[in-house]
Amino acid sequence: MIELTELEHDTISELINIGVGRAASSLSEMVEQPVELTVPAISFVERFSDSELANAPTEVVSAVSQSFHGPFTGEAMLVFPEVRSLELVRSLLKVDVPLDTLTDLEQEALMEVGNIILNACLGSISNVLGEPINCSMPTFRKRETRALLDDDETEGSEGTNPVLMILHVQFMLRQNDIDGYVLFVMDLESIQMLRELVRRFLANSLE
Amino acid sequence: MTKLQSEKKSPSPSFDLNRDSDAADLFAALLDTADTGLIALAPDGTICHWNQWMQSRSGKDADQVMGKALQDVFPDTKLGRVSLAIEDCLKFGMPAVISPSLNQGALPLRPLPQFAASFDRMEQSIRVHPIKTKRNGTLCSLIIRDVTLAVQRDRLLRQQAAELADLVTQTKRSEGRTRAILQNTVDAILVASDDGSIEPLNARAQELCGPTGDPELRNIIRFLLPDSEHTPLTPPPPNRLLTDLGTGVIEVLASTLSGRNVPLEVAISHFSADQRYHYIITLRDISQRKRHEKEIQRTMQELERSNAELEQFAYAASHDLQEPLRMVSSYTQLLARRYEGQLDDTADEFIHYAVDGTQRMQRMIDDLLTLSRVGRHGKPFNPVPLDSLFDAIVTNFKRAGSAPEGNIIREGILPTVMGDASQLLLLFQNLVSNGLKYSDPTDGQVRIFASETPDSYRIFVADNGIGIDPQYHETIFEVFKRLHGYGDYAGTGIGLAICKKIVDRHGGSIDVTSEPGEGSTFCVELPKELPIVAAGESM
Amino acid sequence: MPNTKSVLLVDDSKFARLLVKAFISSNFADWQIDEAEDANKALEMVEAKTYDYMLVDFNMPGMDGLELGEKLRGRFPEAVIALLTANIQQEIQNKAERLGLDFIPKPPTEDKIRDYIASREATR
Repeated sequence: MIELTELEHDTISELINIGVGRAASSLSEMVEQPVELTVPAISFVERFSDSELANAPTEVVSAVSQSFHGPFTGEAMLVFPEVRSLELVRSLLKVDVPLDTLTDLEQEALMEVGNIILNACLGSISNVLGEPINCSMPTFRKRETRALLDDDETEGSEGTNPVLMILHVQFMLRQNDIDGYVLFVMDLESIQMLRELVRRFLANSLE
Repeated sequence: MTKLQSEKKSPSPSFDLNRDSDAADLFAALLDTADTGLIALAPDGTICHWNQWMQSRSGKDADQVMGKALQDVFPDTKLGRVSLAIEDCLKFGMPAVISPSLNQGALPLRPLPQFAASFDRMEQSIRVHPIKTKRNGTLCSLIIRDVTLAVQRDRLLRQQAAELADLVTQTKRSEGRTRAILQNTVDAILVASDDGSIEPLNARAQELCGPTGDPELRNIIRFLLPDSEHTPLTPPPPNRLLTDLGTGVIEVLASTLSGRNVPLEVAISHFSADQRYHYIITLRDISQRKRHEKEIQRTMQELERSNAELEQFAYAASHDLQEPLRMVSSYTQLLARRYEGQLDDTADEFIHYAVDGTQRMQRMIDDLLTLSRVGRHGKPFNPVPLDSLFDAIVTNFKRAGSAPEGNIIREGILPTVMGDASQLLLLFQNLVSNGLKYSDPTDGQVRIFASETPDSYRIFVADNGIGIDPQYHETIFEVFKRLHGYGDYAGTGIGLAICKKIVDRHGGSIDVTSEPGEGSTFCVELPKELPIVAAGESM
Repeated sequence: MPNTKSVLLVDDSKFARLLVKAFISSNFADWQIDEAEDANKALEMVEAKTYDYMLVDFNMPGMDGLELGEKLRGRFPEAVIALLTANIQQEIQNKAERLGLDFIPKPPTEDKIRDYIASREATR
């Protein structure tokens, strides 16, 4: 089990919040409308089936994922139920299309949104902790929730059960709020490394 | 690299990738063949590669841009997202996707000529990659794809999707309206399919065929439908069919469980859908109409009876009056012949008045008899050529010597009409005689001409006589209406009444246009198609 | 440092408070630094004590940093109040400026915090 002190948990939350805040301002500037992004909750689960997301196993979700390597390694994912992803993209693009799947261009737009958020989260962690992280280009996938993590290309998670850090993210746009998730899928070793780095950083900063 | 070298020992290659200059040449040339834009940025953000594609699409040569920051190459463009992505890439090694939808025309690049009309800038999909090098740290590459065509297709797709959605909404709306119209129609509407099913389509149909309606009604409808061979038929009770089948009008009697008898007119039309034949059955409640029909029928019968009685009376009266009158007339005439000049002057005058009176009375009784006969002794209708009819009239007048030569003028050809020849002769003879009577005896003229409407013929009899004040135009056709004292013009006051009655019997109309001193024109309008009433009466 | 100043840190993240507190105390040794984890707590605390510096996080559950900043500005027209946030959207920046609040982008670094306070001290 992942054991984090309250302060460690809080530190990770704050790093993520900083990243998400930056992402929100980038997005807001791009779409020329206010975009607020908050992270109401962060949780750690050892099995995907324990997550809130897995409550609707057959729901189709749109996901943008980027793998990352560095002191800790894994895959970061922005996940929305497909309907929400439509709402999100269309309210960002300010168009109303009566189509119930994403067009190719909308899919690419969602990929960019995911890229901005995931980069910001990873960048914030990397920047504050002073450890460089390499990221891959984002990829898009559309699946049923239960198959979300199947045959993913996350390196380092092979053979070991991944541990998930799940962020519940909430977009607050002009018209509506759209809820999604950011998943960090790592193996136990990586998450322990992350905790170690946080501890070291806290120790250094606070003497 | 050493491995590669050993494998390619001989012959010594003319092109050696291990020679830096050769490699650089090759890679630069390869990058120039790419159908995408390629930009490489040094760690300080300055441009260190700019391929051929970029040159042609931006209009800027490589040597113009080398060593400059992107922002300095495009000083007029707000590079917001692109700049941030480059910064993140160089600083943190973060890759980026820059989509055309969220960043329209991120770089100021020209679209291909075929898109120039609808796009100011090329639509671009950009990837920003960190490139880690051993010697120079992290570089940044921008790969730019032209996705203008995809954007154009996407726009088209959206537009079509929106149009389709509009169409669906419209269809739904009009469907709703149609349903409302159907529901609120007073007629009951049902649809029957060729499998024998009958489905009420609206509330009224539900009422008639529903649980409180007429249990027999579906069966009656099925019986009325053509070739419903799938289901065995039981003929409905005869009292339920109000009309004979085959007359084109179907009326049935619905007897609802709530105890009401409703006469219904049935209309059946059909349409095909889903490769099946369907019938639309419309049932109209004709209770009201039936009541009116009955009312009219009763009134008609009443009227016919009283008319017949009246004619009978007129005939009997004039016929029975004739006998004693003939006696009075004979003896007064005898008195006049034998004793004229033998008594005193006053006696002669008295005898003259008596003779004249009896003659007038005789004519009136004759005319009254004629009038009553128009209705009673009509002959069947036949084609009557009016030209020959007027020949006969002219001959009659000539024989009687009652008209100067050439004062009955026919203009054009007169039509052949359907009617009772002897009555038509009487009609026009009366009109001509009338015209001559009220004209100057020496140069009085009667003109006869005809015109045609789609449904009727109009025959005009025009004179140049004294004319009729418009206030009398209606009343002159009534019995015993005289406009003048007896001494001025001869006549019984029945002639035009006879004309009117004849025209009526022929389903036509008669009227007059006239001004005093301007002559009168009588117009007789006779229908081309005989009305059923007139034809029936003439049988 | 010539004299002792008092600072109030308002942030729901304990980590952020610790970080900022560490940066301040390592540069301004004798300063008194108090912490509040939300806006209500902060409003309670300013009842009892007056602060020279108030550094307020924008994103907090309940009342957000702008609202709190507005209330604090109303009560303490002379105090230095800064909004700390990762969200640098123009709209939020403009609002902060209108309320007379300074703006410090997150993440807080030692340089950022030190330079900011030093510059404010110099203009006093």
